[in-house]
Amino acid sequence: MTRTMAVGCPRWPIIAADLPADAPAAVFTANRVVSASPEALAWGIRKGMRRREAQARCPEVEVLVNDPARDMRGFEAVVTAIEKFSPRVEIVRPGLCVLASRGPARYFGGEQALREAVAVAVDEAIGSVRTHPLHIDDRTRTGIADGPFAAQLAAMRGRVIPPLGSRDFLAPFAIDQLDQPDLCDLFLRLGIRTLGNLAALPRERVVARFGAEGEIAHRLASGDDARLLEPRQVPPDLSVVRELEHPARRVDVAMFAGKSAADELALKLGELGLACAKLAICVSTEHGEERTRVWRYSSAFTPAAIAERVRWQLEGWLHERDHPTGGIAIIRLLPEDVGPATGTKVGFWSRRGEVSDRVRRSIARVQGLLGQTGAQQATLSGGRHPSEQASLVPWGDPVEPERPGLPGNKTVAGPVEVELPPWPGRLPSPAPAMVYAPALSADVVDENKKRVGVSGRFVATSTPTRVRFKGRGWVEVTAWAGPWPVDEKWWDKQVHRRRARFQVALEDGTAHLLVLEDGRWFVEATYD
Amino acid sequence: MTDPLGALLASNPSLERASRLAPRTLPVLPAFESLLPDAGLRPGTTTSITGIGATSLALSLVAKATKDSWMASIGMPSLGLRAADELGIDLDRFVVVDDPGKQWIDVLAALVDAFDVVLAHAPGTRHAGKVSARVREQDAVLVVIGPWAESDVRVAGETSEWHGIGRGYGHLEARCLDVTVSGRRAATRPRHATLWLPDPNGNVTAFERDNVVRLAR
Repeated sequence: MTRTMAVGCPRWPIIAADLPADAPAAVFTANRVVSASPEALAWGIRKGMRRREAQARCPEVEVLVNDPARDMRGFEAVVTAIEKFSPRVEIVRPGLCVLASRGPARYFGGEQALREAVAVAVDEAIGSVRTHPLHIDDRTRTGIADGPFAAQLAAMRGRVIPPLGSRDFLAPFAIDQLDQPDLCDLFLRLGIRTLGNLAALPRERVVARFGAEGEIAHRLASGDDARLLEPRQVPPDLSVVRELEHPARRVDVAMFAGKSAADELALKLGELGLACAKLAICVSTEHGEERTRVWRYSSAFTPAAIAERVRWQLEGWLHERDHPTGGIAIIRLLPEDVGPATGTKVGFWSRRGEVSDRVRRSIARVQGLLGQTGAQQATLSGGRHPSEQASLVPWGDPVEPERPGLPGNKTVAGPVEVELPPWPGRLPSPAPAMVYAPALSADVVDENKKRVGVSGRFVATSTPTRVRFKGRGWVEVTAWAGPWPVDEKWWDKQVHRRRARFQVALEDGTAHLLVLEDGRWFVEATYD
Repeated sequence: MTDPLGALLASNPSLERASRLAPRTLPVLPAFESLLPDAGLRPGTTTSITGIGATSLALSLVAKATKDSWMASIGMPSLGLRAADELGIDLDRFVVVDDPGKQWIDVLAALVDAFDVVLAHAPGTRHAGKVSARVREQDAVLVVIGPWAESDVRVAGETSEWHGIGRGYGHLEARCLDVTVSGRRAATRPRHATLWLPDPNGNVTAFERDNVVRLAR
């Protein structure tokens, strides 16, 4: 058992954004709140809420985009402050780090005293990087327990858990405290609702059923997570070193080397059948300045997760107040908590095809050039309109449909027959090959050159005879169908939309999907 | 179906070595077999598609190849993904690069190096020579929507007629599309055909009298 202290800054993304303490603000990812300031909480904004709803509750809420790089820039000062207490600080994510506390606790006069001293030092460090004073609820929280996981939960409650007490302390917490949604979902369905339920099961049985992932979960739940993977001596040749021929002063330039180093490390580990859950990243400049940070991950590192941490560290170092004078010259990755990789279970019914290394490398290169959203993957989802029936997610993110219900008569592979929403009123097949977002403006007239409209009962006021797209000439309509009414979300004034759709076939052989909204015509899609 | 090439090789063993040098072609739907010079998509070639129905033509042309090859699209933000699925593209093996911006040429090169099939919308034909050379070298199949200076095969959708829609009733259901294929070397002699794209059952088939009868019923 290693006595471990966790230092956590609640709502770190908000603190890092450096806004006045009494400003309502929230950080959003994919339109959902991930973190909200105390003032925003007072207005009723909650984690997981949609942006529109958050803005409805508090119109003046400051909308911040989630930016791990910004978070890490501010967190460097915190890590430096904690390093005065112990040289081995392990960063879990910006806003949370852990350190072995036995030595420092003796030196600073007990665990309680250490806890308070660190909290004060960190608050001072945060104060020095922020221009606005910190909100009283955002003060740093520290906690000490056996093992990092229990320490993190203890920190949020500002407690010191006595030695050998972590298992009892963890027992009442809900199972979803483990940061593994898929596994937790399965546990819940099996009736394992708390960490105590899981810890009560014999470990070898859990391993036999759930593999390496299950073992990690069991170790966390029983407060036995000082090492996540089975201990093993680190072979010296596992480290990966990248020397940059031309020292890089920009993060994105250095990341070309960082990314390839991450891939090489993953490959090396993979060849030896190993996985790694703790990693030291050591970056040095052409002038000999050096910065080492130790990163911890909730399970085995993936290549993408390694690269992400290299990026965070570079962002943090290159943008802090006393940033290095030289360009980045060497990046070294030193895996620490290394154990045999027994494979992670992706799920019982994986439908994704095998990805060849060649394809994966090419996608990594494209994402290196254009960013994470540069290469995307499509997934079908439910919906009435072609633009809703498919969505794109960045390559590497979990592929899940935005709305349930697959269009068409596809069956869902799985053990349970799920009744899918039917989406009545969706457009009949074939689907248009070109879908415009946003729709392009157009005009439709009858034989008297009067614009065609739709009555309150969704009946066309006259026969469409000619269509004109923006910037082009009039084309005769040879056939048309509609109007198909779309009266969506009439129960919500904010998002209510009333539209009428038409299909038209034109004299030049093309066919289009037109829509009339508020008396204006648009072309939404082309059956190219 | 008999394999004429296999039969020829069996009868003459000295041809076997030469056949190994010829790269295998990627399969296409039966409707396209008689239109293309190699009855499939030959690796290392560039195909350009123009005219009416170009997007559907491109999607259906590569649909069968995606059954066991990876495909990427570049610079096609309006591509209808639902239509791609309906025409038989395997979305699990499909990577979309919507907006490469100014790095178009670098991204395209990265994709051509790894993917078997690359679907591209050309912003211009300035780098056509270089791109097609890279495609040849990497044995990829590049399908360009729009005119392209260095194409080996040119597919043009000429006239199209929609069925199932009337004046105020029905809905777009099926389309007859006249297609002309021309190009260099084996494709010099232009070939014409009329395709259902799609037919009333949602498939891509050659236009035959039987289909018309089926539609009328």
